Amino acid sequence: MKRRTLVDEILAPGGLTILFQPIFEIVNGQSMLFALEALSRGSKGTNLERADVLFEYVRRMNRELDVDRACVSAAIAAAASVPGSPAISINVHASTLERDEHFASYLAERCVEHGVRIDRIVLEIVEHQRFRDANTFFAALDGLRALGVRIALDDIGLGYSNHQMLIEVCPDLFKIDRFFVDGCSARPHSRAAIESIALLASRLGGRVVAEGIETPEDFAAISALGIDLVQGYYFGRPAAPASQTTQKEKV
Amino acid sequence: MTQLAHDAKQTPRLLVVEDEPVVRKALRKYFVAEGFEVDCARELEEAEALIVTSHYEIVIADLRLSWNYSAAGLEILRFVRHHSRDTRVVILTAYAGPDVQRSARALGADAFLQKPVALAEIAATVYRLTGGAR
Repeated sequence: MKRRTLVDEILAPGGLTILFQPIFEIVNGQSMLFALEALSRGSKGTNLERADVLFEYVRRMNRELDVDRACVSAAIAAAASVPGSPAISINVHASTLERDEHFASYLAERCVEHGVRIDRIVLEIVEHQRFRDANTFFAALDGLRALGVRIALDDIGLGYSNHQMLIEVCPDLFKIDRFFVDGCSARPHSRAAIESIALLASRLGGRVVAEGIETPEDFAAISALGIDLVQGYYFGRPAAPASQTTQKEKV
Repeated sequence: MTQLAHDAKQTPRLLVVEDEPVVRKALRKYFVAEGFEVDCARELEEAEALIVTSHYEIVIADLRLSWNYSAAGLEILRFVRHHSRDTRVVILTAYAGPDVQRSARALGADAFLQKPVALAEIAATVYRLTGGAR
């Protein structure tokens, strides 16, 4: 008999819950909703409710491809119930783009199924050290862009988010890792790193998102560096789709 | 630091790796009541994901998970030793041949208990290895 694992529970109907965390654009001191990042969680009350455990487990089971599809499907279904039509940012492993040759068509079909325009989708690529075949990976990116999907790179500044990767992917959104953002108001070296990433992004035609902003001091420091896309607990915690708003009141 | 925060920091974390729901539940209930923060895993890969993302003072692992006829407990033991040298590991088993015990000791198991085993004996072993929870 085939062993039934937690992967089967993740892939079963209702096995994933989607929360959305807002990304705001600051325009003339006002924060306007720019996008919602879809965050997948396993069943409540299980270890997989923690995102770090969920995806570490999925990677150890070598099931990123199946679970990424399930996350995409759940995120687009949840996006259909969000007020307005903000962009929806969905995380996907680089290895999935490399190995799942039908991923783009799967994404497009889910958008049609749930009545979500595909040009609202931002694919946020995570674990980009794991792809091996550059040709298939970049062909997949081209195919997605041809459909109108925007590409974001996550965790910029750490690990394999090196200059070669940034130049070759040319992401629409550069998501600076929280390592640099958290506490940056008191750390000039972090601000210097953020500034250099922002300069590179502008030269490559992309925009920067500072994630992990938790204090007004860090927000002020980020704003002073000219970064106008922001995300973090200071602006909004992950929440259920129905509770999303289009504007933050505090800023 | 407040006393509450100090106490929270001192709460020892324990991971139970066991595929029998009844045993998992009993161990969780017992050690939570004893002041431990307890996580439970039923699969090898689930346990590994928890060990990578959290630090545990002690891991109690069943040697064989029912779907896995190899010694999953020994794989967990190897994994713990690779990721966290200061984590103590207690192996539980109903199949305690001398070869397996030798392997477990050689891999660095801190204790090896043969099922059926009383909760009190597991607790005494955990306290000996951790210096107690309270």
